[in-house]
Amino acid sequence: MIARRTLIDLGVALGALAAIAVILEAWTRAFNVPTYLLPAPSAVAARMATDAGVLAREGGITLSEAAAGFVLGTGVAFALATVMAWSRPFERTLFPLAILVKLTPIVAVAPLFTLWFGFGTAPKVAIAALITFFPMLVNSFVGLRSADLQEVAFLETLGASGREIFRHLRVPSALPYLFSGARISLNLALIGAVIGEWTGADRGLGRVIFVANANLDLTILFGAVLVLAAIGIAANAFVGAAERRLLHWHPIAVAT
Amino acid sequence: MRGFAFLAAVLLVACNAPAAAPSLTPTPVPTENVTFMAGFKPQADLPFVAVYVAQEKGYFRDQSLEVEIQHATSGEHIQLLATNRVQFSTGSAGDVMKRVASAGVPIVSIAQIGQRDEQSFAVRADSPIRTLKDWEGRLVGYKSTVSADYLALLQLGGVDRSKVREVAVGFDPRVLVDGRVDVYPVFTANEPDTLSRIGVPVRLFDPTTLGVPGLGLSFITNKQTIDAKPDVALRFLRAALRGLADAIADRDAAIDVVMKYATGEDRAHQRYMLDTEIDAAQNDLTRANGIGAMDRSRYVALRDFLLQYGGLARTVDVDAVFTDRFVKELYKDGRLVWR
Repeated sequence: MIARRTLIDLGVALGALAAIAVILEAWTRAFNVPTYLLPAPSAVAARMATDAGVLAREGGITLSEAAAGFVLGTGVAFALATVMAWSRPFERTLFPLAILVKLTPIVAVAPLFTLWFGFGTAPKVAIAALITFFPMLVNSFVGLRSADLQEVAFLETLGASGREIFRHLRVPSALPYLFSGARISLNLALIGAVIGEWTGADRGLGRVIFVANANLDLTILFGAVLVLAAIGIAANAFVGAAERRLLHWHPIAVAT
Repeated sequence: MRGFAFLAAVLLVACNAPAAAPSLTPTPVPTENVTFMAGFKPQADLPFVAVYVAQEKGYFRDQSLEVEIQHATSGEHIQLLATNRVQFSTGSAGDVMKRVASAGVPIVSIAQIGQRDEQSFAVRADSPIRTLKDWEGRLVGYKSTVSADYLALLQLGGVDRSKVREVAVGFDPRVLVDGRVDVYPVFTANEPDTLSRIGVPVRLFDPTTLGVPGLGLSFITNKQTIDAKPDVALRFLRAALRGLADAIADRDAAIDVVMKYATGEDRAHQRYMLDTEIDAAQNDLTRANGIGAMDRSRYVALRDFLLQYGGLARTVDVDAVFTDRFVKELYKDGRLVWR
């Protein structure tokens, strides 16, 4: 049932994309739109085929940076959310700092990460981690606090320790929130990795996009963007599948 | 008596005109609205200053032009110029060639303001790197892609590229400060001063000084303007070049104007930029023919150089990327003719 629904969803999405591509193709041909303003989808597709190896390789680099940043950022966020959910003083101390992180314009501070972490993968991972941090923190915190107080009291009367309540009640209660945060954070991690690559990198889709923009090479630029989008869609699908598997008992799994 | 004074005042106002104007008033032409988009943020790049000053002093209005000044943030000025949403902008001669060669963008340089390469390679003043050969074994940065300038310097210095470690360093010169790179590519009019101000003076390897045929910023327009409204291009350039001449004559006053646009920027740094770019705008060619003068042979040399070092995807007709017809018409004996 789920597989059939997924296939239908995929078919609808691909149909919509194909329709947009046909309209753009007709538009660019009818009005003879120069490639440096808007390349025809057929030109983008041809370029993607020609440079498939390059796009796959660079996409893999961006994906690995984003994945590492996602793991780091969400891991730290979950740990801090746990502390905040545990202690009001910590919540009052850490939440303003988290908002500060959230409000920091990533593009403005990204060059500093190169100064702090060098030219390699580390600054890209750090930026991806930073950008994923806040959504996961908020979702984790709200999720951990969402446990039913009566259920908490019930477990306490049974002599359950705080750790046991955390493991058997708070974390399961938080799972829908955690997956929601993960969906947001995954895409943000990709954006973070790309921003990191803009500020000084010799690899990755962000660099491909940056150089293509400088050279007005819009076919490869759109090709890289499409690869990035495909990675994002695949990552979301992966999280969705994991969510359905782990939360099969929860109404949200039926709804997604 | 009072009536006579009033009449005299009216006559004075009616006769008010630029000092350099000829006695015969030209036939009025309808005011044309055009947009100038500077190729970067507001700052004292010389072509920007020329336009700022011309706007401030009303030279565009004198030329029946209503000029809206905009600034690009990420290179969008080229596309906007190509689609005639913007009529005038700035770009280095090499960039114009690249855009025309690789994408067929219909843009043309109409006045060459920077007469030398605008980029150099910086090392810390206390660095043991003295010659190009010393780059071997060192970490050399490039901003986004390895440039033709860099490759030419390696060849000129007899440097074995396989012994140089190259790294993309982006646009923050502080990586040179903390020693993350040994050689950092800079805009000659910009980062050296920034670095000096934070206590890290630098020495420069200047491609132009070392014999690389570079050119700096130029005023650019699109083919549509050149073909359909050449008089607008001429009038724009006349006003801008007069603004530029004023800026050279009174640099403090020019910086006053710059700071109205470049709010929040450091005035002294803007002055450094202006001084450096004024120096780079003058050579024997401009002393004979005026600021902005263009020499076809230098465009040919630049194209051939870029082709040799992979800076151009394919060759390009230099006559399609620049025209000196406006500059030649505007100057007489090296002096700007104001009419």
